Amino acid sequence: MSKLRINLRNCSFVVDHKKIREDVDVLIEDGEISEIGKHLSKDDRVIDCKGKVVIPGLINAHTHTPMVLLRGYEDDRELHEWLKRMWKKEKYIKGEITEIGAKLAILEMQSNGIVGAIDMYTAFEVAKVAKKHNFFLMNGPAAISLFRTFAEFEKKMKKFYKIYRNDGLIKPVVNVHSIYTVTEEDIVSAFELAEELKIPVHMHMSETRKEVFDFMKEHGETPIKYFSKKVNLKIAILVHLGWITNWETKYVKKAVFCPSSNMKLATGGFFPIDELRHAIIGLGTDSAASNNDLDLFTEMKIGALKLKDQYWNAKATTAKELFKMATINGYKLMKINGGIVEEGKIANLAIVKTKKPTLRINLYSNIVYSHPKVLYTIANGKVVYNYKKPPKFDFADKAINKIYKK
Amino acid sequence: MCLAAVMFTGGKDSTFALHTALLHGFEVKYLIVIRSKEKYSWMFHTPFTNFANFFEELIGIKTVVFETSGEKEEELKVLEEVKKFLEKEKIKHIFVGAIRSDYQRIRFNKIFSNFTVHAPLWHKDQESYMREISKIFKTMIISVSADGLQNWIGKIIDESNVEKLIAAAKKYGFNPAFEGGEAETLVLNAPFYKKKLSLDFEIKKLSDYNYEIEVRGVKIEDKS
Repeated sequence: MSKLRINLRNCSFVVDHKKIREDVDVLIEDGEISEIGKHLSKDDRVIDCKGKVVIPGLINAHTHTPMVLLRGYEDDRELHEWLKRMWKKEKYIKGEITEIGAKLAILEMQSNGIVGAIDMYTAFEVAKVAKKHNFFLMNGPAAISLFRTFAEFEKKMKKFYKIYRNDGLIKPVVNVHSIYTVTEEDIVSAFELAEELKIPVHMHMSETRKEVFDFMKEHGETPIKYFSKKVNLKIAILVHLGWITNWETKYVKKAVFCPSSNMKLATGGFFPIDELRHAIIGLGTDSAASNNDLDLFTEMKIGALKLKDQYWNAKATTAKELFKMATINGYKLMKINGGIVEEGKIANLAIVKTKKPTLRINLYSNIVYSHPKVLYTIANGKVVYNYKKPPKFDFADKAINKIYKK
Repeated sequence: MCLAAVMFTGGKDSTFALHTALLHGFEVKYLIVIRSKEKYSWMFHTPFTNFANFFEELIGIKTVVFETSGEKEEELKVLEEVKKFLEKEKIKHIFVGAIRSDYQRIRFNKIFSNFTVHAPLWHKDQESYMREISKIFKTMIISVSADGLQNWIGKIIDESNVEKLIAAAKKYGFNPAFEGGEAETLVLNAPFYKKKLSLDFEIKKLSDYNYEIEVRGVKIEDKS
């Protein structure tokens, strides 16, 4: 954690899901929010926040970071056909190229106010890059029977866990790709392993109707209901859920909504938020190859519009609900002591400039519907993005050329 | 819990609408069947709504039948009755299998203006749809009224013949999903059916292009 004391001075607004404060300073010390008040004087560095809004740093609750290298590749495909084509190209995303992709994605996310992500990809390489860039990452090797045996996966998972179990930034998770790429036996074993290691499972679930109908043909039952009898679904972070039945929603304790990706892949899904509000719901961009942004402001807006439209009800959700998904809920899923601007919480913040008019009464709306400009992103008390000194992204060009030439 | 009702005929489109409703997290409380005395309806596809008696046992969802004489304005009146029924039941979501009929869509939405009307098949690609249902439903063609479909009466649409059906649609100019009324279907088995249906039938020729099945016997069986 950074020992530097940073004073966010004269913040016009400090907003989290619980409250809005006006005209206050926020003091950051030792990586934590140490004080919130007026005219605070202890500081080594001052960031002038007059006319600006401070929010918790955002959490991207589902992504595949190095897939940013495939942004724009095979844009107009539906999921299962798209995956086959992605996997062909992904063979070339390994080693150094993975690290380049991870760096590109992480720098881009930080420039969008994102301080952490739940990831499903080449865990060792991405974790290495995340640590270098002070980026919170929940990741782990992926169980995917199509490509590796469970024994191979288990060995990697235990190694990853051993390295990162007590790491502040990297949080191990058992990644299980999906019911159509992982055998039942491997799914059950993966859940058992997660329980043994006392970590969550992160899994794509009920994303398309093909997935669900194919499963029902073989098992005579919908997938979540089926697995509710075989594994402890309470530990699972289930992603997508566009084709989930009402009798399955009660088994979902942690969910991630990825509206842009689902719509771009034309899954035709319906995220039944009315039936899932008992769960912790995070918001995810999915990979940049199926979005094609790594931007949670876009995701909050599109998510809100999707929910209102699918129910034909403008009150189906609110800006505040989407804001909560992108902030505190993401932190809960990642088990990080933050997501709220309070003394003692981790100093993960984004300083943004919202569009006019910016008033107390329209703050959540402004943040969600009118895409603010991110000026600074602070993670662990350290500035990881400064709009005055933006990162250069052309380091990735050679790697991109290598992949596309194949 | 989000309650819904499905406008149901037992054909492929309303069966798909039912499956979508269930997989979109709704609790489908009722299947609404409109039984028309007229064979050819202005508003409703009218295959075997006599099978309404069997739907409840087949699918496990309560079926409510509304009768209509089949005259144009009568059919719209019956929808008002459906609306009152659903309002009384506090159901705000209704699923329909409409694909392209603007007549159906506009009039339906006008009557159900304070409901959310879900039409999951609206303007979806008909060929893709037929390929999809050939894998998941056991759909029988129970009446045909277009050239090119004569040999399809009584046939089950499955993966082995769906491409032939699509090719025939292109050759003879009928809609591959029979949206123009060229054929009517009945789903005998589907993922969310509790049981399956089998029919003992004969084929009856009404005219050169017009055939229908005449049912001799119906069996509802356990799914194996």
